[in-house]
Amino acid sequence: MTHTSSSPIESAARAYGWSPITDYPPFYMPAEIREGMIQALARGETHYAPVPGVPALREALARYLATLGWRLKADGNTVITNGEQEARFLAIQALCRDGKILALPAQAHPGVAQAAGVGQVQTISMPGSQDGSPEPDIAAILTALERGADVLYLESPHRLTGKAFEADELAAIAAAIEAADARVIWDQSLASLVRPDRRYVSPGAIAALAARCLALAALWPTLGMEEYQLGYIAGDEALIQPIQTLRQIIGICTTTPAQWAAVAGAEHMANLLQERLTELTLTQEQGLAFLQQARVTPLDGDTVAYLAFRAPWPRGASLLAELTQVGFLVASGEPFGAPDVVRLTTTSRLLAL
Amino acid sequence: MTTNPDRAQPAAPAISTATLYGLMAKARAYDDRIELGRGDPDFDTPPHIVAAFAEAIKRVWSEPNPPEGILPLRVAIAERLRRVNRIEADPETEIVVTNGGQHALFVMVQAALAPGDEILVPDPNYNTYRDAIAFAHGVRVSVPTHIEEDFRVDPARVAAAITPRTRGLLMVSPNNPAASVISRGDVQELTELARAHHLTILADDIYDRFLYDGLEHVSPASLPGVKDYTLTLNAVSKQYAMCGWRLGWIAGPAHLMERVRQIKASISGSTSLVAQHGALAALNGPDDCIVEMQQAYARRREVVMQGLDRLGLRYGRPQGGQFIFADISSTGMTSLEFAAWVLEEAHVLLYPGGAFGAAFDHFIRITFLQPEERLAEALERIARLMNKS
Repeated sequence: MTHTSSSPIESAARAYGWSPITDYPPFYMPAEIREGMIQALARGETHYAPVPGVPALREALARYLATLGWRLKADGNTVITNGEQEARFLAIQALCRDGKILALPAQAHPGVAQAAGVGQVQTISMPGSQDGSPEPDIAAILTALERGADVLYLESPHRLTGKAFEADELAAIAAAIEAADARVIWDQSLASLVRPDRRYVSPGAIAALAARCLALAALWPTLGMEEYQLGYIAGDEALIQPIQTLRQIIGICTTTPAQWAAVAGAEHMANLLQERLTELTLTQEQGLAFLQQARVTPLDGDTVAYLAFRAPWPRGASLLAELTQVGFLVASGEPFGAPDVVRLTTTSRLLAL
Repeated sequence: MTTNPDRAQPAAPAISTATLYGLMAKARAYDDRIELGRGDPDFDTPPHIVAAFAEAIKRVWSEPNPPEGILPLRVAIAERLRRVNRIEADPETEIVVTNGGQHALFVMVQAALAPGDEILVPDPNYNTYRDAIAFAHGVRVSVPTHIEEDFRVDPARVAAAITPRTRGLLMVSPNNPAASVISRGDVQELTELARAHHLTILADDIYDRFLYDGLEHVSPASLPGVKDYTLTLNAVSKQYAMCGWRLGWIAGPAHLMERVRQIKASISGSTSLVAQHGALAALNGPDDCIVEMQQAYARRREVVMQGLDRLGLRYGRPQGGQFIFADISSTGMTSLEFAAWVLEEAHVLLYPGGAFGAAFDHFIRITFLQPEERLAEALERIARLMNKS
């Protein structure tokens, strides 16, 4: 999902060659990624790819997922998609057709409600936490299951605030899911952007949850590949099988040259991710200092990607203009169901502060 | 209660899409296999397209990329629609870029049908239409076509199938798998029927560059006034041998296209810039490669027809497309039995006709997307097998 930003951001994007996408911190794409794709084209990789994706990319994905605690095979456990929105659509539709009830966070990425809005998926809403933060807490999840939810859609880290579930929360979710014989779709797009001083616990690391969970995200974090539109779904083979069938129906396969670009990107990601996490940590610290000066208190979050805060804030719209000028990418919380929240995505330009 | 023979019940095809993929997987076990199943041209994407793309993508890796596609590509598609299809489309409001022709098909069906709506579908038809209509909870109403008539879509049969619940009419020309082409006169009659009954036409023009025997392709939306109730899909896959790039489009009037745009955004967001710049390179480049492929396919068609003649199998003479639909009822086998037998014994992959409609379980689809000598070899293997049995 692309949220086009206000004109100062677009100007900056043009001036600096940055991505105008506010969902992820923008980075230059290494030239080797493009070169890898062009080499693949030269050897004739212009035909349909296998429905679940190019095997070399799925192997790389399985290795990456292992760093997040998942133990999955490339073959049978992974599907490459045309971007994260297609991953959302496939996961929701494959698990929730045939009268299943899907519980959606009231405040989540706007693509979630869009994906569930096609067809006749029955949904119920999970409100934000009792402490007022946008993410559903365990009480909201339990209530949804009591109301008959067959499938939960969760974002951790959350796509508006970057808040991730703690280990004890995951354990509680796993127990509740198992007791209700439910399934979970887990957006883990920001998992590798969790701050170094925070511990991210993946559903893949909890066996009872992993067996009932489909994870999805965009490929690859911090490599500037967002508009190559690659995503993935990963999980237990029984859950992946209907995804493959639906994936074939809606579009046969994912763009072959883009997949080969991602194969080339995988070779660089391990090194670049650490380097870019360090850079994002620095820029976020700068951004935090700027917000403190402006007497703005951010909402609780765990990633280096976002800072979010809630209205009212000092100086109203003039502060938002100022934030874009210093280098934040600013997104309104309105499409996320939280009109009083502003999300700031960190960028390298903040280093100039 | 009487049954109208020209309003066939929406019976499920005998063979699922998954079965076709199972056959493809089985074929990969044979090193000497000849694949005449899937519609993936053996040609790689022409070098001039790859070169132009490689140059363009050096300058761009990210740019504003709305779900409807980047504007330069929509402008190029509008120009192609004007030049090839005689359709006028505003690139700002009347074109949506998709992730390939199949994605366009799926999006188009979801946008056009509400649950319970009936859509008239000439049989045989591409198996994914069945899946897409089922996903939309639509009702597929088959309009039979017959080999004796070269699979002509008879407007009288279409008219007989219309009910108060009918909302859509599918027009695929050249047809997949029957390879029939809807004549200008029949296009006029069918579009008039659609207008009179307030139907939306879903036009699949994916094979519009591949016609034989001097026939013409007529896009329904090119006729006066018809664009107002027609969605037209196409893709670069077949015409430029770009199946792996996954780039297609839907064109139609603005009042229908807003829903198409919303559905596309909900299903898959934006289309890869890689695919879009690949298509831009193709559409803005010369068409010599298409002419070369047209000539190659025409020669290959002759090879397959001659081979089938020698086998004594009848078929609908392909008027367009990249395949032949042949009748194997003389073998006494079902289409899946025959396809499995030929695959196991001759290592030749064919698609069983039952996948394209339950009434066609005594047909096979043969693509001619292999070089002539490979096609001749495949038919020779089948001949040896049939003579042996």
